[in-house]
Amino acid sequence: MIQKLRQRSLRALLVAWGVSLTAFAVVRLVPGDPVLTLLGDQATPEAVAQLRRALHLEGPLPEQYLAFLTDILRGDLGASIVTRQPVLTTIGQTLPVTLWLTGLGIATAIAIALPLGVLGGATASATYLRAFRVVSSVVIAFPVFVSGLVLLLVVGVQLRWLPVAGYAAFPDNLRYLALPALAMGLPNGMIFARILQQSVRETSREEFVEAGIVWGLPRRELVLNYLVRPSLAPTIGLMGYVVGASLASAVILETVFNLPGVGTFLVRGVLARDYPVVQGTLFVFGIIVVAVHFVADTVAAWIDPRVGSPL
Amino acid sequence: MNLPGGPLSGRLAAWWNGMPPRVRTGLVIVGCLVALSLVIPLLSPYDPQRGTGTDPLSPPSVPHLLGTDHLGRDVFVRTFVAARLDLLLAAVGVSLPLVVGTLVGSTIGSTRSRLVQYLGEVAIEGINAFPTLIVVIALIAAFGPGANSILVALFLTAWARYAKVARGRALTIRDIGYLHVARGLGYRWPRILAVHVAPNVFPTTISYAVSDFVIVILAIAGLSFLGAGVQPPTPEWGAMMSEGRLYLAQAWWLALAPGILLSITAVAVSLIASGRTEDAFTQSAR
Amino acid sequence: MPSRSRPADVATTDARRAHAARTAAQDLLAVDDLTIAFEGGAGRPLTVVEGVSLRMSAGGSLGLVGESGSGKTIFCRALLGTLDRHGARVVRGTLTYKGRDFGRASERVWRRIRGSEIAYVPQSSLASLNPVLTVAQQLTSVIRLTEEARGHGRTDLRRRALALLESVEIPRAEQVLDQRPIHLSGGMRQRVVIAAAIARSPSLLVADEPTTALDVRVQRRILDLLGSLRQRLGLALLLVSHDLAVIEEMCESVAVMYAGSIVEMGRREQIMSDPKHPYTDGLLSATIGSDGGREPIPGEVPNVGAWPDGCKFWPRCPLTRWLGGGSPRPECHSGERPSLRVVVGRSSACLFAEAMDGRPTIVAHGDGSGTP
Repeated sequence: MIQKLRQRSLRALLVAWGVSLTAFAVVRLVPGDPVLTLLGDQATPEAVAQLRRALHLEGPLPEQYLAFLTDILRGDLGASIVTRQPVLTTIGQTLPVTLWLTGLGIATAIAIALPLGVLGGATASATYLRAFRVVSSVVIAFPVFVSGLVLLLVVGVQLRWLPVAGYAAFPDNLRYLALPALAMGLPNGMIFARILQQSVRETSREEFVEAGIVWGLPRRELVLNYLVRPSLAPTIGLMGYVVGASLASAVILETVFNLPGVGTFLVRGVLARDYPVVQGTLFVFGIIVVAVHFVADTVAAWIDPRVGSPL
Repeated sequence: MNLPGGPLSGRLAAWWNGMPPRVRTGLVIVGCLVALSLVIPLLSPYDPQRGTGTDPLSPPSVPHLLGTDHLGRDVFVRTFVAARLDLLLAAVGVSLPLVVGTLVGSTIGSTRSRLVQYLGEVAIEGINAFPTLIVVIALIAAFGPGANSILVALFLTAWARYAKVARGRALTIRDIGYLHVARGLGYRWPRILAVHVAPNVFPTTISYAVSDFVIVILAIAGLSFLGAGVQPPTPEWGAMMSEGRLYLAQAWWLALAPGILLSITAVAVSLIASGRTEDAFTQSAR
Repeated sequence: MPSRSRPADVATTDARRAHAARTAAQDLLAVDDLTIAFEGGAGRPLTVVEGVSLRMSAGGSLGLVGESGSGKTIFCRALLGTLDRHGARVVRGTLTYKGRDFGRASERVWRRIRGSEIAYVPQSSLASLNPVLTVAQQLTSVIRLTEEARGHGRTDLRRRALALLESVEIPRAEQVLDQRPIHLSGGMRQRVVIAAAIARSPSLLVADEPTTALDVRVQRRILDLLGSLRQRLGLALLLVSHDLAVIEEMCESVAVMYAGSIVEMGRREQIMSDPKHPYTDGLLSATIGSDGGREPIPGEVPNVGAWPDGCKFWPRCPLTRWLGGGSPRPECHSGERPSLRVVVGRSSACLFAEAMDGRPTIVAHGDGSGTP
């Protein structure tokens, strides 16, 4: 168990390193000179050189990367060209919003998936299964920002049950996050439900479920500990990918609902060609995904010892 | 559907009837959409780029089936011009990675050279490890906003997905007899690839491309919505939704019309894509 | 095609039923003409257990012997009421436990006696234990259902679980409690499964091949454990096995099962020393050849759905050929199924049971003929 943990940690670190490489490389893939693009033709040579130095764009690439890496390890993600604020600070202010949103979105997804998954896994009705498959396909395909807009329109504008923009601290923030979390949670919930359903169906055929029945265990216990719990591992293992996708949804939904999260910060940075912002945010996102993968795989293995050695 | 005479339409009819009903539904919807997107811009008297005489932000009514937007433009014709653009962009955004990815993946999957195999795997796995949208957004930061940037960015991230699928499929047919024969006969690689490997791999990757189409069209619309893609005043679903969002309270149809059509497209194509995979869970009920 | 008793046997059956009814008050378990069928494909039900009747009294021990495919496991499932999980159901006959017929009872009714009255020890302990829960979690969830432990806290439940493990002679029980089944040895797991089965002090323990998956030394100890538990707790034991040696050691009565029906039943000493059915005889010879002369009965148990007419054993039966001068006696291979009748103090379903006399037994030859 400890050994697998060590293996997994090592892999995670390796991928984290890969993330830093990608964050570094992506911004430098620009054809032409990024600094000139930013400053325009009228730029003075001094201004150009200064910006270049600030962006770590001078010198050979390996040197640039090393400088980038050392800065990161010191906690310095550079400063925004537009606002001059340190990127890390702004991320620190905006990340909680995004994390709240993603967290709530996943919680919503789980809340939707559990009953559907268990129901679908235990049922014998072919009609239900066919209906579920069609409905889940539709929900999964439905673009997140459209469902966000629809929710915003119906619940926020027409019905005025929830606010349409802005943000507040906990616990008020729940009112602002409810709609986007729902928009995000619906398709993910359906994906989870499908997988959980399949898993529960396979588990229900296992002999230990019959053994539990024969011991006389009450139904609630059988469902929770003998059907759901052994079926969770595949769903939890997926969590890493789902968080990655959720972060992408969060970026869009933050714009739809005007939430001051990292997504909004990133989009503004992209539109303004603010490289340090893009680079730093990309890196942070990548690290988060790596961390979640790591935690998810570890939790899955802890819950279910049948989960095999990490790939 | 009854098609008149001939053996060809017989086969067509057979293929059509062989499809599950949900796939047929999807095909019909997409077909109608494509037709409408071509026809309506031709038939409509209104210019998608210019305001009409009518007041801006007027609700749907008889001449303006979907109302007018904040500049007095007819939303109906704009929506379908946008349909044409989005469908086209998505088609391009899918076909390029499809072709390149399939060729590269097939090569990697059927080669005997260890070096090529290894390098190929590293490249493919490396690119696929990252959440696509985030990387695309970053690439657009580098290239600047615009439809071209989206396509290039999508291409750079997408080809590896196709290559992975293609490689997997190629591996399963690598050791089939006729490849040995072809090599033995001294056929050069491009010919082997084109004649033997590719025709066996393409059905798999094309099937993947159909589901990828949904991702691509949503990415294009999404990025344009964020302002990083197609720019106004060009009619594009995402861009229209972004503009319309500001008037959500007064004129909800501005944002919703393109949104609904985008959703219909996405759902319809998903239905088509779902036909390829007979899910285990409908089977297990029997 | 369901078989019917022959007219001549109805009187016997009636008499036996009357006798049984008189002693019913004493019987723990009374199975009468139990017939179980699968919902077969294409609408036709497949009979898998046919006309099984047996009795068990409180504290008694009955061994159910048969090769694989004889229907023993499905019969066990019927005793636990889990037939519907396997797509099977009782189509005829009764299954009476403590005077109440459970054969077609609802799930709700079964829940009252499962675990608390009738318990099950399965063949594969690895497959029968929840892989994601610890031994403690699984045992305490069963213990929680007992009267004494109702409402008690976690510490108390754990203490009881520990005591339970010790009663099945598990070494280092404290550590075992926190293990998951995958980390335990086969013998330990089997003890855990037995512990879970006796936790609620059932009156009847159904053990389905409890030692088959274990190695010989461990088998010995598990059997000893079962024996001592039986004595200590006054359990009735229904032991199902293909291994005659195990049955002989543990059970006072024996019932031999072939292709879904009981072919011979009686006290252990009688059956083992003086079988009155060719199948039983064949099983004994197959076991007894310890000098290397193991002679398994030629042929195979017929598949469900492909049962022969008449006596199901006739295609493999040396007696019918011997009596018929080379070809099987017509009474054996056509007509209705023979039912159990009393022969020399036990029940046998062989029409010519009287023709079988003591050792040496009839040895079957490859060509189907037999010599006494």
